[in-house]
Amino acid sequence: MLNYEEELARFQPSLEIDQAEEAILNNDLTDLSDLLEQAVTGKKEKR
Amino acid sequence: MDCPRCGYEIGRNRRYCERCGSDAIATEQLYKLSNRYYNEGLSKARVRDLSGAVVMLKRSLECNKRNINARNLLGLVYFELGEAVAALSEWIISKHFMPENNLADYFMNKVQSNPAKFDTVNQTIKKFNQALEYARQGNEDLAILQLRKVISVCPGYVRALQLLALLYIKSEEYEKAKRCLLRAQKTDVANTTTLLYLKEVERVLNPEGVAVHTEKKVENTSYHIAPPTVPIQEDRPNYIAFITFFAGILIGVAVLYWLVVPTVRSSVKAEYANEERDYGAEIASYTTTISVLQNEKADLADKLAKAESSIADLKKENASASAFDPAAYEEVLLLVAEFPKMQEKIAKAEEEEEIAQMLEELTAYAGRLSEHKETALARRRTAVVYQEIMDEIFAKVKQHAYNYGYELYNAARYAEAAKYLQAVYEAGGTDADTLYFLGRSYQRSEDESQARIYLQMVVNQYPDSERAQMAHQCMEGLN
Repeated sequence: MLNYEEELARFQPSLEIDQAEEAILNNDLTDLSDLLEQAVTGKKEKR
Repeated sequence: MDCPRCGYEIGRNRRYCERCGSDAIATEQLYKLSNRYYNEGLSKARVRDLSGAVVMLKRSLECNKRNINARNLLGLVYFELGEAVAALSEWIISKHFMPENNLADYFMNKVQSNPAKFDTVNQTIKKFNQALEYARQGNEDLAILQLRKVISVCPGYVRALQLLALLYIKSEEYEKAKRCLLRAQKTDVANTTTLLYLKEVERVLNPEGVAVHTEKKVENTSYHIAPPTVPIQEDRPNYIAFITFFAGILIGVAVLYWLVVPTVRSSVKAEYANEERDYGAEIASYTTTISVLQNEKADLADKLAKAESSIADLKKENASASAFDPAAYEEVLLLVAEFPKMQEKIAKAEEEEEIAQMLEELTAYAGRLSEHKETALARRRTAVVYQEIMDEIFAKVKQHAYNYGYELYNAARYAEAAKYLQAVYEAGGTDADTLYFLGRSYQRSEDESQARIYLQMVVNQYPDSERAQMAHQCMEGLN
């Protein structure tokens, strides 16, 4: 049995054109290779 | 080997890049994993498992944010799902990482080449957000209206279809919800939300079994879809529906015959009666016009006859005028000019001898004037003057003229006598003696035609008189 309120809460607003710039700028582009690099860099600094 | 990050050549047994310092082996492993996820995403996208493709492609980008193919494909999948702005964001980021020779240029140009269409897409997104807001506020009807507009513009907008289906499910319009979900499933075949809602709808519509609307097998994926188990039912002909249908037709025909046809007939009759009345009025007006025109015609015919008569008179006048003699007319005018002088003389005469002399002169004048009678009568004005003068003269001298004419007759001056007696006749002297002696004067003047005329007048007008017998005897002597 569906719970209407719960299902409705899952829906999020779509991005509009005027929100695109903000969305792009706030996009976290950190990937695993960046994390790996950060980990390696941190290791080297600790040394 | 080359460093996967910066491309710097690393020695065979080295792990870390000397230029960028990255762990080359780990980075290479990550890039391979990213490509594997990209391949998974591509496979899912090819079979329209777009939700699954999004998940795989996001994982690919988490491993390697510079995977241009994965990012471009993710943008394409977002665009197909109706999320145009999200698609554009991915393509812009893709262009940031690879500005040249990037397929993202082609996608963005395609999308932005039609500004009106692009604006429509943006408006659609705003309407979806507005509908979502209405739904959260409890205005399901408004939300449904907005979503239907969104669907009409973007029929493949999956989230809009899902939200609309949810609203229909809430308002227990399960058939409509099912239609929306089936359309969403066409775009994104394995969307979890779509499948969940479909299951709910089928549960309500088909409580005997569970209906699943996809049988697609997706290879190399950990996501499984339950196989369909549709119960089989035989189709039986619905006799009641046929009977109801024909009964409805019969009832409709009966209603038409008993209710509609009489009304139509009466309205047609009324219309014809109105037309008949209008035509009758028109005919009456035409009849009146005809009678008026006929009267006018009769009047015009009378006027025409009178005009023709006047024309005939004028023609006669002109004919007589064609024989008009100017010299004779001048004589007449001179004679007419004399008359006032003669009237003076008569008025001044006191003695009886003077009066007698004047009357003689007047008689002689009348005789001379009567010689130019035709000329005088040729013109209307002179004819009037002539007649007036003669009337006045003859009123005065009729008797005197007769006496004088009689004396001339006895004196055997027949021609002269005829003139004076003729003047007496024209002055109204139509007694038997005047007519007899006038006829005899013409006879003695050898004008037998004129003689016969006046002698015959005596016989006709005074048949019992002595003059009539004498006239009859005289006529026997005529040729």
